Amino acid sequence: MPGPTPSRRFPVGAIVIVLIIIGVPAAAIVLHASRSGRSVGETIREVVAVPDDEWTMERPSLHPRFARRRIGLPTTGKPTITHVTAADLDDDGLLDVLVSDAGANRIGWIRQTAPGQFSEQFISPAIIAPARTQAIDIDLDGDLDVLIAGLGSLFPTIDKLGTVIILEQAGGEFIAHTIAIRRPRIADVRAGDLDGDGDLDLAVAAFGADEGELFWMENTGGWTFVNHVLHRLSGTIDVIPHDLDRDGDLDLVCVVSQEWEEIYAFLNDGAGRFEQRLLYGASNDDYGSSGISLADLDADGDDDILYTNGDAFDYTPPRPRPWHGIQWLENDGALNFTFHRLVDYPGAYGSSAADFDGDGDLDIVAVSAFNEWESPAAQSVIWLENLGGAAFARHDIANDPTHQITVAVGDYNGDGRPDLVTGGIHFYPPYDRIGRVTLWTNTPPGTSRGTSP
Amino acid sequence: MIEHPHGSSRRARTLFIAIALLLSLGLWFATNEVLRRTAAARVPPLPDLASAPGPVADQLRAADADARAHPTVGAYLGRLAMAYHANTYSQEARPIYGQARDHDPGDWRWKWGMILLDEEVGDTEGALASLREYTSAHEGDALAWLHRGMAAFNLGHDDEAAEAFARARDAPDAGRAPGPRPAFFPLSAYARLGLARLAFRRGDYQAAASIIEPVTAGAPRFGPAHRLLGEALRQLGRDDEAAAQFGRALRCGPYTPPVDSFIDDLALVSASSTFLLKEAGVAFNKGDVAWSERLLRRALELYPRDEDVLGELALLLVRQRRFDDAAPLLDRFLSLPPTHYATPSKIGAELATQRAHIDRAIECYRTALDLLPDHAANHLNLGMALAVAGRYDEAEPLFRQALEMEPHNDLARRNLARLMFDTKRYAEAAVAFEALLDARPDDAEARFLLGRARELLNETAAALEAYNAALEVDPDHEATLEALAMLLAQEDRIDDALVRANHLVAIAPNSARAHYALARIAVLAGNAGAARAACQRALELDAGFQPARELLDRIPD
Repeated sequence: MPGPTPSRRFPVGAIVIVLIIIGVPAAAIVLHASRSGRSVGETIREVVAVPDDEWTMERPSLHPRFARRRIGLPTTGKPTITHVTAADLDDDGLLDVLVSDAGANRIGWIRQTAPGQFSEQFISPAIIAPARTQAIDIDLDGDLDVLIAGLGSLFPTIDKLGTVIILEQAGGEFIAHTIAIRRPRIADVRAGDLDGDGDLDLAVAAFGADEGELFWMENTGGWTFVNHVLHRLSGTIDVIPHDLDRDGDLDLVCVVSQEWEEIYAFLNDGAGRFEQRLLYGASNDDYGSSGISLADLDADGDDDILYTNGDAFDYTPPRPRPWHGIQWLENDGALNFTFHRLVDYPGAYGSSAADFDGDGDLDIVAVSAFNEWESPAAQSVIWLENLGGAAFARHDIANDPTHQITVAVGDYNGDGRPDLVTGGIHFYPPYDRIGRVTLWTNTPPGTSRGTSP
Repeated sequence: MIEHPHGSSRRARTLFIAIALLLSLGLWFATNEVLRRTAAARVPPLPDLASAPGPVADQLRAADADARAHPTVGAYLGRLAMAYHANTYSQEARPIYGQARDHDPGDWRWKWGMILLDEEVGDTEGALASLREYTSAHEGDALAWLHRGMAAFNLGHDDEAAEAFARARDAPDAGRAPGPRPAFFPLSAYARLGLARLAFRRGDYQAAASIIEPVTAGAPRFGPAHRLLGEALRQLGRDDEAAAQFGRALRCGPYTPPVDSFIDDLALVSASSTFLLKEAGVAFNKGDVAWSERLLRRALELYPRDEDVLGELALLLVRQRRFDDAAPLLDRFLSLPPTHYATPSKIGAELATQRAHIDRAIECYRTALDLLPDHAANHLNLGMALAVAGRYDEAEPLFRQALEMEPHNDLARRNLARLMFDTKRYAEAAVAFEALLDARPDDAEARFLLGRARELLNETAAALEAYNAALEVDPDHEATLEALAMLLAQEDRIDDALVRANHLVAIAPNSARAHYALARIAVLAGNAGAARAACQRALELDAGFQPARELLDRIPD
């Protein structure tokens, strides 16, 4: 009996071929999908997906530039600046800089004697490892005095070496009043009327080492104060008197590092009685909290918290960690805070908010004290442009000088644009780009970048 | 010739089957290759490794190649994720953990790695959400419950925190396969700490104390427990007990996190000196010297000339009093030379406690000082080591320099005063001690030395005043009691001298020197029997105490 005719064999063979062409890949796809835990549809979409072409267009830069200039005393050796404050200390309309110099163990006043002319002098007695300063009229006599937090030792110690000193400005001179001694190392002191009696009290962050505390000092007149301890956790870095709950009195907001890595509010009843509230805690006990500041970043009428983590002081070597960076805690108005990570930034310190590009919203500046300085890509100063909708874009400012640990914002040339001043802490290598105190003048886009040694 | 129709048909069929098979095989392999490449394309590209250390770059490239060759196999993807994580490339690690989890959802490690990365970057909310999911799937993982408790605590979810801490506390074991090393503190200690903090937060200090007290007994080296108990006791007005707890907390050293076998595995994978040094430091602080040494030696294999690795390993060995093992490493470290003062200073501090190694301590301190001369402590440390070695001429300018840099540095002042005393400049020493006591009036040792200086200057009244002042600060200061007893005896105030000597023996009954002092007073008092007994007691305690033997020989029968 004859077999199928060629005309019949052809359709059968074609069908078989088609089944093979379709079936074999299909079987492979199904098997692949089952092994990979994905759906068949996902697998097919992945294979056939065409990457989007991203059309990018080079936009002309609308970003400000920051012209660098070293000011103050000549840089010698390895400077150890712990803090800079922008203040017009002599009330002459020209912004000056207060410098906490832990190498000289004194407070320096870089006075702007004429527009763009700076001269520095020391205005305090010896204060071992001075930290934050604040220029404020503490005695309400019409001129600015200087509050000084004294660590007593730059490096960790359990010894109670912390001090609070006030430099009373009187007739152009500065008279030192020692307000507190023999406390755990004190990192911050700020003034505010905490008990509503019309005078200025002090909020004090005693970082300590293994022991620390947060306390406020009730002003009882005649340069005397009474201490009230609020907590006894080690590692309090910043304490900010601010009306966080908008009830008309000053609360306190603080960040506690060491193994705690927490941010607290102490809500004031108006008479100096405080209720503690935990606003945020990191589960990383090595987070390296390095500071906070307050700003309404989303312009919704309440204060958010700008927060950096970049401390590497205790490490050997003092190198950054991959989780260092900048974040903000968004306030919903009812003191509930939502964490938003902005950017990874090794060794992040000292963030502040200001409108650097003049577009009406708040941008952010930050510095780095601990970075991979061998890489030219490691930046010591950056700013984050507010794009709206809680989006920020990072812009690098400089990698020279390195090891910048503090930044202050102020309009130093009176052009209405916020400038920066930074301070450097050079106690570990490299030492090829040293900067003690540096002024960064905010220049409009299109202006040539000025540099000066 | 006509071909048989069945033969040609068979050949055609065979050819067709062969073609079909080849086509099938070809399509199969081609499809799988496309699928593999597509999956491999999902794996993020390697970051720029130009500035990465060689061992790190090599490891990441190898792991990346393996993952791309097996892009649908969770184990390879997971290995790549761990390599990134262990070498501090956290951003790169996270998405790959996710891919590993997609392909291998049964392996807990990939989800756990993502949770750790969320925690690292401070995203407590994200971590808590993941932990809720994780603990639902792994109810027996006590460490996960502990992490969940801590995250909930940090976000103010107290009820959730309490439940999670309770689950961690009550779990019979960690709930995971054992890691490369055992836990140093039980997880229950951390869990109880969390529960105690919750009680403390709501103001229930008695409850906080009750919760944490068993931990201080069961894990006496767990410092945070002592500290929290101290705080609770202070709030309850039990200040003396609180102070004792704070003292214990200080002696325990810094806080260390619970052992996590996953992190230990990361450490064993890591080729990053930064990661290895960090984990080694954490382990050492916890007292886990073996683990710390293991990690440091791994780092040394990878980075034989790394300053920090050499220095930290030398420091560990010195701290363990393994000086012979430390010596060659210390030689290598100092010959690099180091660029940062901290490690030479720490090594010097350890060596300085051993008189036999004081010269090496001096070498280390000198290196530290050369690296950071602006630091007063570096001058002071070198000065102290030189003084111990009897090199007073070299030590004194260093003490003076430290004081000039830090006028309120009491330690520098004390050491300078002590140096003056040791070099027999008693008048200068007395002035220096008095200056020190202005700042530190409660320094019994300084008061004693002031007394000795005055005594050696034959200023008896001033010496007696200083000795008595020292005893007001510390009634049991042995050196003062002895010196005062002898001075009173010399002033013929035998009864007063005997009071001091008897007090000395009462507080230091096992001190040969104390009994010897009593014997001398007894001789001056004319009581030969008591003197003989005291001498004999001294010799019982220390047969080689020659002054007692000589005195005994001189006592008449």
